[in-house]
Amino acid sequence: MSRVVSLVLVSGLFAIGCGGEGDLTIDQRATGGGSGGAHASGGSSGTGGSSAAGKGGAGGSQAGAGGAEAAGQGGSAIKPKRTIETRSPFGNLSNPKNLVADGDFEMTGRQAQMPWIVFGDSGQQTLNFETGGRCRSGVRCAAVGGLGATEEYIGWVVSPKEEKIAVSLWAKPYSGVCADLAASLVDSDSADFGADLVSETEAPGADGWCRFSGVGPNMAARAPVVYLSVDASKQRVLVDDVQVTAAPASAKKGALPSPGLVAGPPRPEVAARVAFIADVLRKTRRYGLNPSLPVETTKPRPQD
Amino acid sequence: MKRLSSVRSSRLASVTGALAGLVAVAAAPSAHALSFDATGDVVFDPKALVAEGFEGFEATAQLQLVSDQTALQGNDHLLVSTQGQYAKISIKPKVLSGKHAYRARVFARTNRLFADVDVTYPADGLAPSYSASMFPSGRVTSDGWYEIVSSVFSIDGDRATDVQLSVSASGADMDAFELVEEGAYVERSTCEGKADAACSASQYCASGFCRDGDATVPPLPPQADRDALVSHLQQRFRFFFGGRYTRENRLPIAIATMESMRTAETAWAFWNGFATAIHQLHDWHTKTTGNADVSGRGTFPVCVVEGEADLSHDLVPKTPGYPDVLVSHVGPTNTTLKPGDRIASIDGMHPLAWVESLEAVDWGNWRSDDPAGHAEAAERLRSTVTRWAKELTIIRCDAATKKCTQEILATKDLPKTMGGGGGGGIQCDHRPKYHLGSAGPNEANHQVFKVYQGVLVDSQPGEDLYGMVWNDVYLEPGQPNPYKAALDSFRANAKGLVLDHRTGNGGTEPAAEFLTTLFRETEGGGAIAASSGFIGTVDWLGPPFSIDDGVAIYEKRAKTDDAFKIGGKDPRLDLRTALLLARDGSASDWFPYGVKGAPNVRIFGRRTAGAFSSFLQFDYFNGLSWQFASGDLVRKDGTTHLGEGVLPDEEILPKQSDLLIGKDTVYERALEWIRSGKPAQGGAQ
Repeated sequence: MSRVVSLVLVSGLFAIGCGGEGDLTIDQRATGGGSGGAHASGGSSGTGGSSAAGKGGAGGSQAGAGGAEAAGQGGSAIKPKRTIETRSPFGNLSNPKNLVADGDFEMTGRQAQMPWIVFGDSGQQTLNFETGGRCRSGVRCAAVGGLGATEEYIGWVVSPKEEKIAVSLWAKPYSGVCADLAASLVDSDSADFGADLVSETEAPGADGWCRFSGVGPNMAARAPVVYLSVDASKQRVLVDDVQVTAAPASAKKGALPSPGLVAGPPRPEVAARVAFIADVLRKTRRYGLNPSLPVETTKPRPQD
Repeated sequence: MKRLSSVRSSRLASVTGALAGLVAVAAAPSAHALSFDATGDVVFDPKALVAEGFEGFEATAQLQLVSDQTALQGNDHLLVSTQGQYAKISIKPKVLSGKHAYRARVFARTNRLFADVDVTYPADGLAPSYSASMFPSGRVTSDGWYEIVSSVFSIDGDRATDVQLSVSASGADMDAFELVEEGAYVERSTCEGKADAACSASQYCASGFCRDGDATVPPLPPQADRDALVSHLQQRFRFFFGGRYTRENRLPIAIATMESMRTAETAWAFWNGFATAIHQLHDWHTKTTGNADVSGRGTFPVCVVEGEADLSHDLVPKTPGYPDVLVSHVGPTNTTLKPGDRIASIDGMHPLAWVESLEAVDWGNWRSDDPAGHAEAAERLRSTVTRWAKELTIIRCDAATKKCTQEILATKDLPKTMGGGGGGGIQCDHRPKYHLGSAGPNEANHQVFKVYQGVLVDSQPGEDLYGMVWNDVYLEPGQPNPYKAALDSFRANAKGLVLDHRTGNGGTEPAAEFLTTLFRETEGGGAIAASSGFIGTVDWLGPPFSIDDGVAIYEKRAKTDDAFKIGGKDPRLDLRTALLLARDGSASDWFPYGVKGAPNVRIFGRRTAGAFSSFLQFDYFNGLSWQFASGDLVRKDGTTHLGEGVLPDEEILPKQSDLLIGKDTVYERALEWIRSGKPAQGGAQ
């Protein structure tokens, strides 16, 4: 309690010192996508007492994010406990041609036949999510692994008709090791066909996020999926803003956007796991009315 | 119910003396409600009627108090774990007397928080109780909190008997709930039918009152986001929706309706436009779910079937393209209708055409893929009548004299309550009767939740006629096969068989395959067809789609588990089997497709829905979800099957004259066929 009170005291003095300029509580909504306005301009992001910060550093500028709202003005010694921003609650919508069914995890429920399906040791599991500014964009992101068991995600994708496929995603490993996430673009019918994705850097950026990317082959008339996996021995990895697009004709595997990184075909262990999961999915695919509604909780609604 | 322990923020109140003054400077009133100070602490709107930081909140099992430094405000927040229920916190004492408008907001973290403000009014004939739902505003914090906010909603504080914050989550943090007075009170006036000028663009008419549509859907996105969101949603449908038939014939209509969302001026117009577009896809798997549902006006425990009104065409002739609509069974009380009564029209339209016309208001709208199928509308009739109909034209006939009379039944005259055992639990399953005696489902409520099988009550000594009644077609890996015992029994004992699948909810492909094993030999050529799986390529299954395209899909998919392989190694080709159909889709399309043409199988009743696909589900906040079909069934010859139901060998409808006397027309005809001849060879006749 004393810590909080002292912060309030300091902030109050700061406000007076600044002549009260700039009502810090007014949403300053940025337009368009891109990296947007840093929401803690001049201030130090990713610090303070939040649990997110304690797990690898929260904050920093966000892709497709809106503008800043709150604390952390330039030149101030204040380290606010949190920063505030306004985003689209539907995620990063800057690319309507994103070929992922739900690239930002904003419209995926926790169970059933959703755009993303998670598998664990005992078959299909409940998806876990993280929320708010802990995510790269939007309000929700996937929280993969970190519960003592390997977790694998399958996300449905469509292939362009002719072009190669460029894939990118953002991952935030709690361990600070980007390679904690395995990510691939795979044909779930022939799982040795596709491409592994690699992180463009070994370590996350200052904001804690790693960008994975790769270019895979065209998968027309196939059954492409994005595959994500975090091994049981690893800590949790947040995943957000998965983008799949038709690659320029000149694109070569691994050439986008970091030429030094090579994305090869799916490793044998990835191919084997995707083949196994795809087989289960085919056998259990629903051809009928869903026994229950695909929501986390169903409020009793009017019946007849 | 949990009453708020404090109204004004105890957090701010704890900052005393000079400190409080400093805070007041930092937290100068902003252009909008709840804001944040320079440290990132929440500052409630000074004018908030409820400003709850949950400090020292009296915890419950569902609302656990968590004290740590991550609270948005103060040291405490709640962990909401309601196990599928809703926890309620009364805020009625803080609601103003008289008529005022409000907005509610609260922050959540880690999982989705479903939160409503439930406004309870007495059943006094005035505007009824309702809920204002909260959805993400987009405001988030770096430590994981996100804001959910309601639309501006109205409360008559003098009439309300309670006002509650109602929350549900599977482990979400909650903090900083605020209720502020905002905007102008809006009266919910009375209205009639499916559209009434009395209701504003933020409202919809249902069950006799204009309903606050804005309160049931997410906020209207700002213009820039709106365009992006519309484009994003359109592309999901373009990329993933449908089979060949629906992509060609229905998708362009839905896309055009989505275009109108760009110019929507209210949240309701935007989101109801989206729901309408989905309904316009006319696909059995393609549906919406949301909070835009209200209780029906009165009770109507009446189930109807597509029928043949053979006694009353002189009073009201048939409508081309539609079957007649007849009452098949009713609840024990609260209706004067009886089996055999005909619903000739609703508000001047054919009843099924009327139900199908509700796609812009009925979020439960449900259609067959085959445009000639209307059984889904028959099933929806009961619910829609109580919400949107003004009056029904009923034709009642006397069983003895066969004389019929016509009368008008006004919806406002329906019984207002279910009453004791009033039929609320009765299910509409397109079956007037079951014919299995004690081995069959309960004929009082028609709830069919497993496989029922046994000797038909009409089986005479030595006939050994068996029957099976079931709705679902599910086989799950590692789970018991619910059909094996029945098929084993029929293989060993039956001389004739009636399979009553007049409600077919579908399920999984392996189940559809298994159910064919008794009736035909394994196809020597392998799969007769193959599921395409989900659409996996841009413009796949879209026009132009050639036979060669279809053959290519078949040849590829038939080598996978998506192959549809029918028949078994130990069939009973001599077993004369009648399959009864009425409202069947998906795996319940596949199964009839798999047995049609088998040596001694004959199909009676209605065509199936032609819903030969699987589906993808999408789930947003607070009950707003939708799903749409993805994929098709491709036959060996390259043709696709979605949009084309499996036709019965004998199209036959329940007759009005039969229902009046408790006779099940379709079953009786099937039984007659089974008894009529010796087992046929090479296809039942």
